[in-house]
Amino acid sequence: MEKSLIETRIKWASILIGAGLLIQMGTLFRIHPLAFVAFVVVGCPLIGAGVILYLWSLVPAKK
Amino acid sequence: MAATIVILFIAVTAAIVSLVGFRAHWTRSREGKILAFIALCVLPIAAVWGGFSEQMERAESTQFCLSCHVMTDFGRSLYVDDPSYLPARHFQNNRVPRDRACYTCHTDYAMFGTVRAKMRGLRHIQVQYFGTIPKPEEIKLYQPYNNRECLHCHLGARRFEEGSGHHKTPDLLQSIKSGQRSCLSSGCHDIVHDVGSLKDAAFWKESK
Repeated sequence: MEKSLIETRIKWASILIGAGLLIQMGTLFRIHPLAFVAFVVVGCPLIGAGVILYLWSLVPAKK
Repeated sequence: MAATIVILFIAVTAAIVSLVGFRAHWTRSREGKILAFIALCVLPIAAVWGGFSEQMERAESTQFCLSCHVMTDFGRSLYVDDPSYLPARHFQNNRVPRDRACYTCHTDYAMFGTVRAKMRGLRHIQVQYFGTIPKPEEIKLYQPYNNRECLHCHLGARRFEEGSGHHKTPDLLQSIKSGQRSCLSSGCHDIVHDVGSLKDAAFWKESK
């Protein structure tokens, strides 16, 4: 049961990180302040949330 | 080149992250756990670091500064065909790198000067997207322009040290160096961007 919870969290973490990475990649195709804003305000928080969710999945659930 | 490497790195990271996401059951094994840690922690952090430094590098480019509409006239002022316009004279004679012209003059050459310049840049972005954008001719510096920024390049240069204009009075050169007399606002080099006067100006056409 716990394993499937971990895998669900890992899936969500990868979705968040993947979305953040795609946004970051997109911002690097244009030199514009809006690209910088998108990188910092959207891309970085998505990746941060994904990494935290992944690390949270490593914490054992309460028994 | 650096941007291409960063983009490729982010793309590869995204591919590995997707793989781990679709094959989450791999993480049941020890090798899978190591892969997940690299894919979901190490590589994304490295990608953010690489992307952030690339974005910071780009934020110093002339193209970046002039991409906001309000800065268009400041960009045009670099092409005025009149050597009395100080930024134009510097830009057209390669006294500043053309691809980093704005940043070269508008950063503080002091400790944490780059950080302060970046913070001002963030403030510009905030005004651009969330504030009231002033007219180009109403844009002013936050603080009077510091001679230190001019002296960063000109100090010790023969033309600066021996130029007759800097020796009109015995103590003039020293007062410039000490910052008591401003390069820009003491009546000497006072024509800077002057975007309000551009409608009557002639412009230099760069030969390709």
